[in-house]
Amino acid sequence: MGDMGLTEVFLNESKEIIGNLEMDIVTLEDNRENQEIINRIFRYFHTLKGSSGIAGFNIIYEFTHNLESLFDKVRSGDIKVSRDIIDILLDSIDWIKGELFSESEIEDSGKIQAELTERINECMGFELKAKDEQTDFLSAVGAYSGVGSSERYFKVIAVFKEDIFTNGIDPLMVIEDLSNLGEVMISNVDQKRIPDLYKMDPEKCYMSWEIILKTSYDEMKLRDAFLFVMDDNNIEIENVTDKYDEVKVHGSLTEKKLGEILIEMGIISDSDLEEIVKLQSNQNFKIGDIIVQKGLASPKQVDEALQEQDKIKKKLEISTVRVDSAKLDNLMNLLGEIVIGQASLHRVSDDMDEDKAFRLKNSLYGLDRVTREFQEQIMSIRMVPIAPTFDQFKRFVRDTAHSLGKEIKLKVEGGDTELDKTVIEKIGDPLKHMIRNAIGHGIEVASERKAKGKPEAGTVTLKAYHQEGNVFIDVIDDGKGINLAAVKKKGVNLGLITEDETSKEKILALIFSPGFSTSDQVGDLSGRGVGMDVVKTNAEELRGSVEVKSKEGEGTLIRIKLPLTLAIIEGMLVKVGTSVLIIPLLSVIETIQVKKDDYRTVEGKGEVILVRGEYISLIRLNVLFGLEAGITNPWEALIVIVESNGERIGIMIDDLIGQQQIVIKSIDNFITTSRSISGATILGDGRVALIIDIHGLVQEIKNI
Amino acid sequence: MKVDKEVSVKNINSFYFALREEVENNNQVVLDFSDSVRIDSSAAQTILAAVRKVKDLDKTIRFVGVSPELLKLLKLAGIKIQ
Repeated sequence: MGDMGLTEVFLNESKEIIGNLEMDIVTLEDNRENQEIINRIFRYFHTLKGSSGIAGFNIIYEFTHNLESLFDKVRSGDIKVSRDIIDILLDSIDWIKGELFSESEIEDSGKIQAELTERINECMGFELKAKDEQTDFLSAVGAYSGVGSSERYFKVIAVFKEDIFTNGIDPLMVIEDLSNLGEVMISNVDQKRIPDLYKMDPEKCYMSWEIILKTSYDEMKLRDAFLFVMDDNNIEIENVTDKYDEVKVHGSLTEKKLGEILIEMGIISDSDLEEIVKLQSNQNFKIGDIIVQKGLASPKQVDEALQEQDKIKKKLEISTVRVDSAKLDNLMNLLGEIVIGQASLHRVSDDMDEDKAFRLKNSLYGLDRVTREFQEQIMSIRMVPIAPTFDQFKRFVRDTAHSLGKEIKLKVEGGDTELDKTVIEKIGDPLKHMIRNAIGHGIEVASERKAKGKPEAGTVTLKAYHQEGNVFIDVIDDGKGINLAAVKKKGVNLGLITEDETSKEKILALIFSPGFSTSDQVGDLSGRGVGMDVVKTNAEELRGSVEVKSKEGEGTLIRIKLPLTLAIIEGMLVKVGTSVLIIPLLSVIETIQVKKDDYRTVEGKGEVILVRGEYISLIRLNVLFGLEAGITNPWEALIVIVESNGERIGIMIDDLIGQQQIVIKSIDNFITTSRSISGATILGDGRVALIIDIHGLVQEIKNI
Repeated sequence: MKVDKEVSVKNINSFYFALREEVENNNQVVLDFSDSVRIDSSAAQTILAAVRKVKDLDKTIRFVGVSPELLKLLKLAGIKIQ
């Protein structure tokens, strides 16, 4: 095995490659002819093979070599994608994962590997025969060859460091990987760098190449071949298509127009495009619409081309640097300290004479602005799209559905929605719970669906979107919905509600109750409720909430609401007695003073105030948290109206201190188990202030 | 001279000294790759240096038993097989 640094790099990269492979393989099952996915899978196996060889994982090298060979046949059209192949690929991925990442020895690993290799070999042999039988006239005369190709030429200069062998890297293998991406038109090894035979040190590297490669891949793919050597060696890749390609090139190769992509995909011709462009200039319609309108391509094909265009754009625009996420966390913590320091300086300015205080506050104002911008920048770095999290469920949905004999499609919407990486890391498990429930108990078997007039294949939709400073994630299934009567019955039996309860929301919310989900309820309650309390707890740990909507016979929607970030919030500092507390600004609707007449005590509801014709509960924080009381009469105090899940309450405070960025520090359960507290912060004067969790507070007062 | 099944940086020194000796002692150097499946950069650059040396010394070098896979690799490494 290679040295530790190399192994670590390899394992990290492999994890990413395997994740991508899983997603693409599952996607391929529904898009069996998609050449782009097929090429990508081939490339992943190829990269995995190459890097495992470099890192000294010889068993993986040999195994992935077989997979690469299998997929090469798929790529060349010798083997057609089938359910068997998908199964083999996924089983192989599982075995590789076990070999690379399992902490303990995998039982029968060698046997499993041998069986998989046999299946791969069988598949190659059998399918080849089948293909021979299927070959039609058009294929035989090469009618399909070249369709969708877009050749480019790249000049690659690779000069390797003398000590590269000590890292276990063989530059020739890297160049071999590169050559497999296309056709090497010109290859020159600079022999001037190689010393005289008698003077050379064979353990030092003197190899360097200048290569012209003809390939259909983009520059990013070529860079992948140099993954492990790019940083320390002189690697230059230049697109020289203009110099080598005699074929007419439409505009810049770096950015493609929709029409060009459709031509490359073999969907429209050059003359079609010319005609469409003329029409576009006359009609002022979008080119995609005209193409669809004229019946030259289906909306799906145009969508695919648009996606491809977007991908190219993104690949060209993105210039990324890989950063250890711990460094980002540290950066955020340090920024937190700066925010606390600033608050402290604000505090100091209060004790200064007016002139000096003005000057300090003026300077701090500028600093505040920069800090805020700084925070936004760090936040944007920490924000990652949810698409990879969603995509990882494709495999899960496929496997779970197959094991239950159901046909279920996973639909993903809003994959570009970005969330704080901490939130993303913690949301995976709750989502899995919800998807499992939707598959296992929500969506009916095909025969049942057919009988109800539904499509035989069920759909689970994962949808993410931003709204009002929060991120919403919906898990929607088009299954049988939740049996409200059964939930109510169970709730009554468990003593969670009374027979009189009529609120649909309240009854449905029971599925999130701890202990509500026991195995005997699965049948009774259409299976809903299994582990849903875990979903709720996890969402709340992320300062989020969860709600459910369901219609019997039509489906269920479970919505998780999450904050954009977990690290810093905008908070309102309020005074209660001698204590300072923080109310998250996002939950604040308004701050009011009530008249004495608008204050009542209602039996069973406690203290209420009349706000715009509606009575809302009044909360005294000193009573709730056992603090020293300040103002005791509500009509003399200030009332902060807050909202959670559409429910409003009034919080009685003595005074408003101000508004500032709050760095959230978590507090342990032994300090408080109250759900009304989400954390604490350090104020400018060094005091600790508790942060009120409005959602938890509303829930807690409901239970009092 | 018979080339090992695999020549890499792990066994390059023995290959290097054997090839040097071969170049020094023979007017015609024959590298037999019939057992060989793979060489790495260290072996390739040694062969390239040997080819140049042989030319300088007005000697000849031949490669025999090269498999198609290995041929592709040798070509990539800039080693011209006549």
